[in-house]
Amino acid sequence: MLSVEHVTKRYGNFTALEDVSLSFGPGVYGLLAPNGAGKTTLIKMLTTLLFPTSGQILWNGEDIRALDEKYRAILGYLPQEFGYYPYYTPRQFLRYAAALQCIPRREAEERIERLLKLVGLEDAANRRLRQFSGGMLQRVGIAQAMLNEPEVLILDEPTAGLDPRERVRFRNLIHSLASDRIVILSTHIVSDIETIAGQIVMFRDHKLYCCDSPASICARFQGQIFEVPAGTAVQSGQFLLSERQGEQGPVARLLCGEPPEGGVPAAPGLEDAFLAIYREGAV
Amino acid sequence: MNDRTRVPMPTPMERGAAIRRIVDRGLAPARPAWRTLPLSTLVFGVEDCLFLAVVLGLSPAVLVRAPAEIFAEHLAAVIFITSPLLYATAYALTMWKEALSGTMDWKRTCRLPLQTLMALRMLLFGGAAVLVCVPVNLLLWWASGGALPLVRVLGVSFSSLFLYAALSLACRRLRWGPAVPMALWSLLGLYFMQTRAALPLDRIPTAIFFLLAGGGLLLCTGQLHAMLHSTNKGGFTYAFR
Repeated sequence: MLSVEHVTKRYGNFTALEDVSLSFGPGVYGLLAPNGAGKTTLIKMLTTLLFPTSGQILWNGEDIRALDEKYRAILGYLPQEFGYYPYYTPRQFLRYAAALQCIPRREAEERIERLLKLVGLEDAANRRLRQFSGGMLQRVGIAQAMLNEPEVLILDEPTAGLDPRERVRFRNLIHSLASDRIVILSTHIVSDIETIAGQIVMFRDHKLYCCDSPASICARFQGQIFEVPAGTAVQSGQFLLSERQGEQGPVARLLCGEPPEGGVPAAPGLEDAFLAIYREGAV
Repeated sequence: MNDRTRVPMPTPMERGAAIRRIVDRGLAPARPAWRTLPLSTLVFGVEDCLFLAVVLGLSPAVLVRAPAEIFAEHLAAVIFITSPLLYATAYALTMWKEALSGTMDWKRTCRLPLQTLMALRMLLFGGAAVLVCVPVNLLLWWASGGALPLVRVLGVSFSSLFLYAALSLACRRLRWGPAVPMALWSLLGLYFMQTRAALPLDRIPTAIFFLLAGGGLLLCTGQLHAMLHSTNKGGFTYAFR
């Protein structure tokens, strides 16, 4: 169990996160918030790259700061911009990462073979990394993060810059890894998280807004989302969330307490909830 | 109500943590992970930096073609400036490459502390510097026609190298970066290259150079020992991002 207890992080006078408390058990957690909301700060604290100004982060009841190397032994991390050496093959690169994870050579070889197969790179194992696409590099990054068979896997914006096919592949991969470990991934792409995260963590005003299932978050806006023909004037008390192509032309999705004239009730999706929570004036 | 029920009992998580702590303290300390680290790991991804540094470390050898009388006049200054060339170049280039490649983020979360990896690399660079500098210095000394006693040449060389290494480690501790010692040594070099300014360098007794070399080596050893045994202090570079 990984728990964040009353954690605050300040950079000088700027408060990036304030009094955040969370508990993580096995499963996929999505950190969903606009850029600058504090996702990366929390990720960096969970990966020991930063330490809280106040509060503490505990792994099975012990401060991760005190656990030091023992905590890093159960941690896998894929940073937002995964750094690699372009003139090496993924196999060589993973051998190097295994040495830094203090994994004995023979054991490392077995794990590398298994991971290359898992991420679908066994055929490209001897090609140089500089020939890899963004999606392939992200898969090398995942293999690197999985080398020590981590109990906590943290992925910072893992799908940024990937094409739709690679994103689906990546989501399936994460799903297969999450059965017996804590997977925390941060993103601002709602569709990535909607399908794989069991719990969604949202921040607002640098404070924890909610940690709930996607269904529960959507349920908060039940009966408040309506579709009207695109171009309908938005009245006060109504908030335009998005537009989409309906069966009879483009429609606008509105957030409002009272049904608008000619409005058709719509089931709220996570994207509606995201836009409603982070609408202008609400952040 | 029974009084025993009021005694605050540890949660299963706290109990587990306490057992782990007791077991950890009872067990014999494990062999440090860095002792089993393959040498290739230290230069992985930065072989080109080390190669360039070795080339630069060997480059003072071209001075043997300079006229012996001019060259002999500046021998102590040349030795002083060029001795840390390999170490300085290897250190600066690897730091620069690591920063550019973006590999620091995930390396900082690996089981082997990044500080340990850096300390081992510096040891390697120091060793390589000694191995390259001594033959180059011997060559320069021979080319100068033995303008200075050989022991003095070695004294100047080792004191310069170890003081430079100690200074760069201190700058690293102060988070000043590798540019500060390089700039300082360049200024000192320019100063000593002037004939009059080189005089103090010539007047210092040889024993003092060896004392300085010993002091520098001691400082380096102390700082590297601290780096090898340091705990993770968080990525300070993120503080103002």
